[in-house]
Amino acid sequence: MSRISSSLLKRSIWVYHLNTGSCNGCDIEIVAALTPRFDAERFGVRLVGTPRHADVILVTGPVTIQTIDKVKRIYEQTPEPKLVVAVGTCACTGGLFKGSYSIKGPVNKVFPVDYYIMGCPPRPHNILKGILEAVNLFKKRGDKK
Amino acid sequence: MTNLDITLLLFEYLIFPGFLFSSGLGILLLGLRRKFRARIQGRRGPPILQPLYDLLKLLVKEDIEPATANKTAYKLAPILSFASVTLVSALIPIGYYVPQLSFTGDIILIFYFLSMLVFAVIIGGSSSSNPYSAVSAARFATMLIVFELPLVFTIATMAVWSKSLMLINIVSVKKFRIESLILLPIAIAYLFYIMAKLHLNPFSIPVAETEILEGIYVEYTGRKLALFELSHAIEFSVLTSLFIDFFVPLPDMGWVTIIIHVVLCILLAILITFIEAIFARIRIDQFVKIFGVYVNLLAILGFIIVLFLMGW
Repeated sequence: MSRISSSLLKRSIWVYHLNTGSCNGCDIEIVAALTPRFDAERFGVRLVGTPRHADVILVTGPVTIQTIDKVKRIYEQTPEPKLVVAVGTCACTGGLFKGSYSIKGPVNKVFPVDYYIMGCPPRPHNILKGILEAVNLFKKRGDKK
Repeated sequence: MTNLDITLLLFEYLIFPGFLFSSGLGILLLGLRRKFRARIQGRRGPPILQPLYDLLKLLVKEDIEPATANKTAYKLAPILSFASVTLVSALIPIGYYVPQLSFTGDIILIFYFLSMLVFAVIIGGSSSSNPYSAVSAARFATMLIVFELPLVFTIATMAVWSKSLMLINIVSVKKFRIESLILLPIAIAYLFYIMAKLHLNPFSIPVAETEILEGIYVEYTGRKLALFELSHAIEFSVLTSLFIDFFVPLPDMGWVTIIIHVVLCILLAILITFIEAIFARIRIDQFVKIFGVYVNLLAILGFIIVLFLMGW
């Protein structure tokens, strides 16, 4: 059963884009990865507007103190099985803002992250490749629920 | 009507003109729509079965109900939408196949159940206690006031044209005649109706994902969202099938006609996709103006022309 569901989840990836106080650089690259030039739809990747529909959450930015409650809430609103992909150096390690008084630290201090895409900002190819590699993790995690 | 064959009835409801056939055709049409739109935009596009993968994936996702939602209405809405559209699909003749349930006045029943679909969506949207859904439901309700009129006039015109209220008589009365061209205005009005009913692009006001985040479906997850998507697919196949039944004369050749019917449905879906891909979304006030005045006038005009020609 879990093998069937993981192969299904690989074919239809609905992505929710979550900004946790980033500088907008990674957000622009995420949008670029979904343009006709890269055509993410051919892999079944679709950008959705609500966390309720999401399979993969793309998180950008170091989690600032201001956003932390909302970020946690959006993580809880997303139905299982879900994956979290941290996009950009800030989301992965804190980057330039590491140790700052106004951030909670990288995303994995707030909720578990499954896949990291480094870069400041990462290229659209890397983001697309990252999403497609991350969905293989559905199988490894099995039924975490 | 008196002696119904129960097995045949179940077969019709579950397999041939009903659930399996129309959902299969609907998923195929939706997939072709996405593929064709991608080709117009210069992309490769998703595989044709992508809507099927989406649907099956939604079945394995967790089903969440918002704490503040009206639980009964929230649960009931997808079921109501799915049930009414499946019933309609079992009533529609494909080719010359006569459904056992067809009776005098079935096109009026079809009209009621097609409207029920919109009501189900509005109930679901307004019960989920999300502001975006509420806005979307209000937009859909505003649209409902204007966009059902072309269907009413199409049904009235076809009833006058074929002198019958039975869908299968409307199908069989069609022939290649030069006078049939006077049905052109009503056919165009019906095409606009299809696009508004399926909320496709110039009329995608209630599900505008860039403004109100897919509107009505914001809070729906898992199985319930899958039911809504499936009823959307079946609705697509039902509405295109109705277009072929109403306006395209086909010779009676048994199962060959059924295949021609399916091919014509696909061609119609491609035409609809083409219109969808070249237009941007209009605002709700523009919709009421354009659809409420021009399309409805076209439908009324088509009806009056047919009335006069039929010597009434």
